[in-house]
Amino acid sequence: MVDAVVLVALWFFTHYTEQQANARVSFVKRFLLEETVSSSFEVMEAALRRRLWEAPPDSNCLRSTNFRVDGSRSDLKLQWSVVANYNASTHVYDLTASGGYYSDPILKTFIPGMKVNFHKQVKVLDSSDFLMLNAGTQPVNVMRTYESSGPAGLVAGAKRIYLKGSMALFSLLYPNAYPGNWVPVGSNFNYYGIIVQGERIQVAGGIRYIPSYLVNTPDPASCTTYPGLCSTLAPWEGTRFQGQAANGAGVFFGGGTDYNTAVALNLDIKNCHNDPNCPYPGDLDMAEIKKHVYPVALFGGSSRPLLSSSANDTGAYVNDQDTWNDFLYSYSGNHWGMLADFTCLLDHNEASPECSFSEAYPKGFSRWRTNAGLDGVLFTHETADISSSPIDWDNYQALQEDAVACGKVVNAGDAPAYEDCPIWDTNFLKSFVAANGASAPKCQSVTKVSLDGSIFSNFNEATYKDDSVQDRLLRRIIYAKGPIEIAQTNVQGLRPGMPDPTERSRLTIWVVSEDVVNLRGNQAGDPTPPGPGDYSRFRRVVYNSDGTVASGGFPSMRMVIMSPELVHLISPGYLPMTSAHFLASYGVKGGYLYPKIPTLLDDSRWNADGYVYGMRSFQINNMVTISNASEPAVLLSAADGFFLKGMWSGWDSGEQQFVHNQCLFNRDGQPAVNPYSGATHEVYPSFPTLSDELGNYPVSMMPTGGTTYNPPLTSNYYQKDPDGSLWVPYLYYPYVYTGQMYATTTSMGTRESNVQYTGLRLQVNFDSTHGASQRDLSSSLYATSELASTNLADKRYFYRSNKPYYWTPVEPPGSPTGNPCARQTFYFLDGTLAYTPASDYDEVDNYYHVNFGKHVFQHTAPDGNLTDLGALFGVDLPMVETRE
Amino acid sequence: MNMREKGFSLIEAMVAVGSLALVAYSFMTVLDLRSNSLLKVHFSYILSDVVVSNINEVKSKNFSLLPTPGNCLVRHYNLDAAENAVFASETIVASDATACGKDPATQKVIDIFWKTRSTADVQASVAFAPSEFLKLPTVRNSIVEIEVRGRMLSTGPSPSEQTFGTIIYRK
Repeated sequence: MVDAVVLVALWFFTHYTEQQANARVSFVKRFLLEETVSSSFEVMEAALRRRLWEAPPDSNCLRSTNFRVDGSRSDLKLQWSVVANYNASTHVYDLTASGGYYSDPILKTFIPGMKVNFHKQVKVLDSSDFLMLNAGTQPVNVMRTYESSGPAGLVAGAKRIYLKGSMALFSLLYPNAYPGNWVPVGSNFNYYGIIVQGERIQVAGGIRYIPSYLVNTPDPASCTTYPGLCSTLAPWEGTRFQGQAANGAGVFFGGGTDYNTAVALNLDIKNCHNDPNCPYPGDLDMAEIKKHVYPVALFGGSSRPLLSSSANDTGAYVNDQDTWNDFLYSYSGNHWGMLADFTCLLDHNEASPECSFSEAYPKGFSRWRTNAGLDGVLFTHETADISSSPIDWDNYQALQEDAVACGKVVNAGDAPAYEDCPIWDTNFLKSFVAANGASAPKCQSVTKVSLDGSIFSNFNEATYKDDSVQDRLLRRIIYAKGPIEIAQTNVQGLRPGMPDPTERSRLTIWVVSEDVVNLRGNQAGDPTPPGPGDYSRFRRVVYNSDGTVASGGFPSMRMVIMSPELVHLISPGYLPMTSAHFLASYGVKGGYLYPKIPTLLDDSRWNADGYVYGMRSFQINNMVTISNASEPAVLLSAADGFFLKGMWSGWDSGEQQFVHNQCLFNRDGQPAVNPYSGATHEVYPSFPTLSDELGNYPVSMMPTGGTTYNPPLTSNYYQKDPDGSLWVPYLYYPYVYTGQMYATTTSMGTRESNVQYTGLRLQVNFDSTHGASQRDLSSSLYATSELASTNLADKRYFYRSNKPYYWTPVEPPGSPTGNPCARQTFYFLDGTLAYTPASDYDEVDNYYHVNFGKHVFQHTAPDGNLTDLGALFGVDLPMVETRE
Repeated sequence: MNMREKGFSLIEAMVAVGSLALVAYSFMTVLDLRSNSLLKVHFSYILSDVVVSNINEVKSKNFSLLPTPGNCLVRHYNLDAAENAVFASETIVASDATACGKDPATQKVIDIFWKTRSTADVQASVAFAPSEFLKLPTVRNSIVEIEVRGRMLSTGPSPSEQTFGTIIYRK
């Protein structure tokens, strides 16, 4: 009996233990199930990330609202699924993952208690959420050149500015009058060279002014003009201190009424350019603006200059420009120099941070930010990271799949196309030189893409008037595998065949390119050439906007351009460089490239374009560019958003080009063009008449057998006086540019075209992973350059630094080496005439311009229409588990 | 004095002995079962702890440190005197190698296997709808499936192999 009881007890204990074991196993299996199912979100998210978080199209090319993925493992008796619902109005994905161990795989019945559900949301950041985004860690330089008439700026309105790296301010200033030594410039609108405004400005790497260099001993003449200058700076010259700011100031504004202030200030600065009477009554209140000026030093001190090496972060700062120490810092005998700020000096031989670096002086920065009313607006190191995956080939493939179904795929070389040799690409020129000019140049075939007509697959225009699907309208993708050009052929706007404003405001066109995208503007609304009395008004070239003076054109389209390459802007009159023309214009001799028809003198391409219209204003509306943050040519400067291809800019103040242009112009066998005589300009008349040792006159770079390569006498290149006389233009630069320059001001004229960009710019990382037939998206195919930076050693010029070449007779007399042009010509003509630069000669690499695209870039926020353009990033929200 | 002398017939005696033997056998069997069950519970705790620890590691480890697709990370843990799992060794082999779980288990050793499958393999094993536009990133291979499996032999009079396993998606 006892035995039986013990036996039964043991059995019960055993059974209980068995249950314990099973319970433990079930517990563990459920845990494992949860881990699998919760991780299955990754599968759906990976597929969505591949699509840049855009919902997939349905059969009508509308955004799908629900879709799913299912998976299973028979050996584990495991099934799972993720169902996605996209809320188009909130831009949120609702994801539900569920799964279990099945008892019947066919009936899909699950073991009781062995099914789990998880819920998760992913918030999608639209590409329209940012005025400017830079996901790279490189600094973004916000720069204004001193030749600019307006400020460089980022006026974001309600958009966000997000920079993962730092923001470096560099505002070169050309004031009405230089201040005296150690005398502040004082309050003047011209002083604000940079405007940054946004409701949320995130600069994770911090903010600073770029230092200027104290390059040399000040010119004794400067010391005479500005008494005390030399003695003031003398203690720091030997140690090469840097002035803290270039000179002009940057101002930061927040949201609300700050936006209006920023816009008004922007306009006033343009209007006040070189107007000593500005600001006029009724203009902005300078006292109100002054508190927004970014400090030149984020610490204080009792004496000037302040020194970063002995700074204490006490919360003091110096942002009152009336107290800044600026003067014209001249560093050579010919008065070359710049207006520089020496309120605070930085010894760059030491490790001390820049005086204005926000991250080095948090107390000073914080105090200024509070006093400027920018708390909650401007963030530096406390910026939350925006996780943005690099754009990769998976993304490109997904975009191409969309283009096949609902857009347009343009293959490389598709007709209609034209040939254009990329002389702006150093790689192209090097390749040509390496082949010694023997092989055909590798020119581009640029396909002309029209946005008109039925370009998009499965496109029903009426859909764009249907309010019920407004949130589900899909981005329409033009996917280009090679270089393309999209022209605005109608003065009123792109795609004139779709005039309905509602439809136009809802259609979003994505241009996704593996190569260069050229945008050809339209100038039909402003077709007359500038001339005497009218030089000061730059002609308008428009893109994606109405070019007519009167209103009534089409609303701008919503356009996104994604490319790892720079976007090129070309004039309506731009003529491509054909391979035949290239071969006629350039040759190779002795391993060097030489121009027979340099770009500046290429009458066949510019006579009806740049030679006539000169500098222009290129106005782009309602656009988003998504470009490569890791490609230095693309961003790094807020002023370098685009590459203006062709003949756009006037001569700059670079000292070398005086010689340079003459060398280009004077050729063996040139026609008898009257030189520009009687002018009062100091440069040209000072050029001596030269002959070289071989008796050639004028000095020629290349014997041409009498062929004339200079612009024909009928060219608009020359200055034509009312009496019909013809003159070589000043500095040998196409005349219209000079006319424009002197017409725009009484002192310092504008020398650049300008790009007025209303839109958004997103600089993201592109991934280097690629297949055998795919290019590396992370680095550019081209070495884009304004200058031919091929090894052009024979094109260098030499001049004596202590005796400005254009004021000094040739020396030694009779020697061709005394003249830079002649010297180089000799070297080129006869490679055996090896030279050794004398120690008192500066060697300056002065390569040929192959493009004239210098421009001022002005970036403003678009209107409210530029929203919901297509997803770009996903932000995970917390996951929730619901049990069954 | 034998059983007959006590008044039991031979048959009665044989039944009694048989019953006793049966009870003894049952007793031993139940004891054995109980012992195995206890060991099963015991080892399920040991194994599951190690498996869970590995899963947590798979989910949190830097993507670049996970075994590349087609490879298998093999870990061995020994049981110390107190029957705690102590990490012993780790190696990476091909996923189809014998060492990746095709060899027999060893007593007092816990084996853990991480088998990584490529994005293309995952793509082939799941079903998206719509499949035309929802695909996995196969160029960058940026999502993988990792099967984590653990096994061990229990000790005791009737050792049995216990396994736990599941799959984890990582990107």
